[in-house]
Amino acid sequence: MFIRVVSVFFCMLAACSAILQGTIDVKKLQGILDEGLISKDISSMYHSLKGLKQIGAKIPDVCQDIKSAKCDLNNIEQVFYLTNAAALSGCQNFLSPDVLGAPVRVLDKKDASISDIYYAVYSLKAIGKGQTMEKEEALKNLIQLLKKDDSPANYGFVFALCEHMGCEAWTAQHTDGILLSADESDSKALHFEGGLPVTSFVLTTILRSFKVLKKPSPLSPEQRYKFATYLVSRRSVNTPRGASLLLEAAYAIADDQPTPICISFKDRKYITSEMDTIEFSVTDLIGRAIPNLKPEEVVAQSGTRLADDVVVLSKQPLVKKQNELTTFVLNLSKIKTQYGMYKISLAAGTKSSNFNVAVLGEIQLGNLEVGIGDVDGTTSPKVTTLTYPNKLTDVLQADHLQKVSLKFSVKDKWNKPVSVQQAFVRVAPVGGEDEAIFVAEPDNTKAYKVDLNVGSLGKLVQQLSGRYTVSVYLGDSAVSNPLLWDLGEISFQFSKDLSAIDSAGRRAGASAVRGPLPEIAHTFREPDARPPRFVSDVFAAACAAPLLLLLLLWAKIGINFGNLPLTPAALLFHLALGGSLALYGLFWLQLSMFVTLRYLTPLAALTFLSGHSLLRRLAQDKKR
Amino acid sequence: MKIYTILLPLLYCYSAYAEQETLVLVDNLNIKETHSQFFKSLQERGYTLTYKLADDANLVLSKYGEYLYKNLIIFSPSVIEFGGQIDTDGITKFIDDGGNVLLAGNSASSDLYREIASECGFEMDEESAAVIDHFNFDSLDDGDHTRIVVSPRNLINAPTIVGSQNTKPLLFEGTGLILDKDNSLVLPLLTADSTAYSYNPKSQVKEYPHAVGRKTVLIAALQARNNARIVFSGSLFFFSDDAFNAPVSKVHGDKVKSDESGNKELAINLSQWVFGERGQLRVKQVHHHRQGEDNSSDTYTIIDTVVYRIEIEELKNGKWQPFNSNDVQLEFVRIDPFIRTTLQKKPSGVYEAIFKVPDVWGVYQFKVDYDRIGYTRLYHSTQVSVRPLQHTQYERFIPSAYPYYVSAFSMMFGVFLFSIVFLYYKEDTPKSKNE
Amino acid sequence: MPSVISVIPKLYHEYTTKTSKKLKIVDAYLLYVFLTGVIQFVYCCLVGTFPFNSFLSGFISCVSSFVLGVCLRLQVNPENKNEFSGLSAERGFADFIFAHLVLHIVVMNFIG
Repeated sequence: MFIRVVSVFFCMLAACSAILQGTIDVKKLQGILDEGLISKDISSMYHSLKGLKQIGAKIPDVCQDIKSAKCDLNNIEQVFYLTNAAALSGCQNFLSPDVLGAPVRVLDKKDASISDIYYAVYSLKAIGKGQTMEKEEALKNLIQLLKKDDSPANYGFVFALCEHMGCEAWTAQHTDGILLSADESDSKALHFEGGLPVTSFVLTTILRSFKVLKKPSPLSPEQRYKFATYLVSRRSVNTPRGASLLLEAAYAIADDQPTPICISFKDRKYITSEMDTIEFSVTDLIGRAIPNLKPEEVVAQSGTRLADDVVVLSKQPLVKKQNELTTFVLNLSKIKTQYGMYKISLAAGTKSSNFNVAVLGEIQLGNLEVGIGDVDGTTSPKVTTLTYPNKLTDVLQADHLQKVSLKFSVKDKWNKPVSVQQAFVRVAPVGGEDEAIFVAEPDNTKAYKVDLNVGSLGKLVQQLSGRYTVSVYLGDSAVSNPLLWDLGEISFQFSKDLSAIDSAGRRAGASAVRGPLPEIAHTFREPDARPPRFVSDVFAAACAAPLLLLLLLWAKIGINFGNLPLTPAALLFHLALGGSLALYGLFWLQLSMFVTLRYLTPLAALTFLSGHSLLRRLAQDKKR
Repeated sequence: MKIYTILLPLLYCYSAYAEQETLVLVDNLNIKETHSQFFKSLQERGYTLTYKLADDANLVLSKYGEYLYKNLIIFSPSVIEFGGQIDTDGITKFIDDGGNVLLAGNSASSDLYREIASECGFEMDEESAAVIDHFNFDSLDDGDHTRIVVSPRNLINAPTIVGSQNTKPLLFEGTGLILDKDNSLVLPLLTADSTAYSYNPKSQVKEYPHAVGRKTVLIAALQARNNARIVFSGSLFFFSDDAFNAPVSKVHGDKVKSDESGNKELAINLSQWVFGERGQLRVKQVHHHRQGEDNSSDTYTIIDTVVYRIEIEELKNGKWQPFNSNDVQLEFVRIDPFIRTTLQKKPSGVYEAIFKVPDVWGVYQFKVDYDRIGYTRLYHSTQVSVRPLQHTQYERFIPSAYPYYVSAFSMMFGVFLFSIVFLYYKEDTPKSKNE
Repeated sequence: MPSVISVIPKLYHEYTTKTSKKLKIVDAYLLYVFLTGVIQFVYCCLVGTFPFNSFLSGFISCVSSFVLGVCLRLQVNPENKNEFSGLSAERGFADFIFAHLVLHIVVMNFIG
């Protein structure tokens, strides 16, 4: 009880915004459904047929398509789609008798899930083989199954089975509980766990059951509104399945009185001085006129300007357009000269909602003054005056000790100064990527002014002196003709501030890290200079020459071998010594040190022993 | 040992599976439906999406030090504080540990978003500010000129990230970012036009806007040094079914019209990049040897010519395929690079360089450091030593040294002769005595 | 200066008459070694030090031979008998040969 009271209270609170600002576009969804029909997917075809039936569109002959559609006859869900698609299009005769197998098997199974039972029962029903089940027994079984998994989806299946068995009373008993279990997002929309399929299925089943029972709708206006909000938020579905589910639920909600009211802009959301009326369509969720709504009940309660909260209209009735049931026209000629955004509160019957309407107008630019003068203001600036949309005739010059000031005023169509949100001045190098943008500020007389200090501008564009284009951007959400005025070129001369250039270079360097780096090659040491072969040969001969000299000198001195003892030791000694030296020669030519030492050891021993005995002999000879 | 061989494929399967685990944080589960096409495209590519409310008290990113998810999608601009164990630090750590994050906000984004943004090197405009472009807004705009039409020309020139076939205009509605100029890791993927700015659409421009003109970044990306990727979009609307299906028609200027926005294509391309389906490089094999030999060596002498081959692969459509590029460079580094050369492309992803080892010995590295926008950073280094010539490797029998050879042998021969002559010389002392 | 010039023939005469022939043989050897060294040095100055190791071994080979030769001459000179008491000329010669064997293997190793 308490909950009811609270929900009624909330309903009253919410009533101020209980108008939906959008409808479900049946036309667009029908397009999706038509496409679904020609797909070869049985699920899409089923949903398309169902949706088209819902909106009462003509259903083409699709029997051949259904026959040829791919379908796994062991999958109960697919069988359900196949049989029901056939039933919807009146093509039952095209089905093969095999389709009965899966549903019968499911119903014979002990542990079939609720969804499988639903699919099986309705598959059989579709081909006219619907069994009359033992009502009490079956419901008891289903309640047992529900205890295992009491998700809203399963409740939906049981409700649907109840429709078949005629136990809608049970549905009515449990409806409130299920509706309370719906999830709320942002306290604006209601939906069931499982999204659109479950929400649509449960809602439509419940509403159908209540109709059969001839009971009033179980939905409170607030719930209806919130479910409708959810459906509107899902209007961008793009599959036949989603479209069909959305349509079914939308029709169910729209048919449930009192239907939620939707008001939306017919085409424009703004007025201009030429078109000072704005059209709203007041419909139910699927774009039909609201029954029982008297045209004089559609009233603009109030209108305020967003910028300063000034009330501009109150209790102005909307005029119903002739021959169009759903179109209402609001005349806003009173405010057409005051550009800006307005908040209009529209009421239809007891409900109302706020809409933002823009009053758009054209703007024009008065004269623009470009002044170039010293930063310290010692000399009076040189002023050039321009009118829109002319360009500077020649390139102006400014250096880093000067500043460029721009002065202009923005006027509406009636030459009254207005302020705009965007009054920017852009400075960009000719043909370059950089840009610097400055904000012009209005003074008391709404004249815009901006000072470009050339010295500080340089820091923004990396101190690159040269020609820059200067343009003025004027825009506002209430301006129908945003202005982009290219003023022409100014040549800026920036100071050669080393640190600034350095930091610019560093930045360029940082971005260059992610690319190929310059290649590096190693410089090898130069080979040493070598003398010509001839010089070497001459000196080689020269080096050998002293040996000859030695022989000559010895010959001159006169050598003899008088001391030569006749002992084998002498021969051995010289052979060994010569051998050793010859071994050195071989070592130089090819041997390694280790091999050389191995050969040298016996030779050296021999030299030592023979030398020892030879010398001892010589020494003895001398004493004698 | 056997156990390992059994375990390894299992581990590999597990990791391949974990690659696809993705946590989606949303404000409300409705987002799952309003952004169904985007999520569906992910699921079709094999991602397992786990949807959680961002303030769910049971949120966890990791269990027992192992991350449960490889990727994180944050589509919850209005959340003020994450539930469970996730917070800004947790997300930063997730990124530090190599996790990928896709994040989308809107003009109502909370300070939490600003914190994450500044951790990643972006700066997000304050609450209720939106990117406004009075010159480039869509005809379905609500009056604030915040539903802007952005030309695909404003995309970064990096086909790896944004794909190569973006021709349709893009719809954007959300807040603007600016990037830290000195951070070379952050990338402006999509920037606004010169006429755009980021400000509260409801108020007069009193201070200089947070972002103006082309400096207004709509979608930014970061590839961290550990190759973790982050895409930060100022607009959640950008990824919605609404934006994917909406027709585009610009009110002013060139009055661009299109039956469909390019959002879907770009969103899918971005998700492919951010979750590492593209732009992944790896080194398959590296081989280096002396020219004319086959075996690898870790020591070279200063006269050697070295052949260096590196095989690089790129992940394409889920498979590792040979990588194609012309600007892979090799450096031969001893503290400073001695040689930097562009590798020659050979068939099947092999890159080759043949060069002469510098005549300065020491410990060197073959270093391939390939860091290009959109690709993971490829870094490979191999250490080798370069040593002087061996005793036996010097040039011999040099003609210029013949005089020295001759002298040395002359000395030897001289001493041999001298030994004979000196030893047996008999002084004619008797003669002198006789004298 | 004239006195120096006039001294040279005297010295030469002195040498040819006073010096024993055995020592003259040694001196001829020394002159030969010295000249070889000088020629190498001139060559090196003329064409540069490359290849330096060869120059060093060739030149050191000469220098060492010269030094060893001088040592031998000192030992076999009868005038120095007192200084080398207990060391015979034969012993000096043996040392001389041994030193040469060591010297030349080193030179051959280093000459390249």
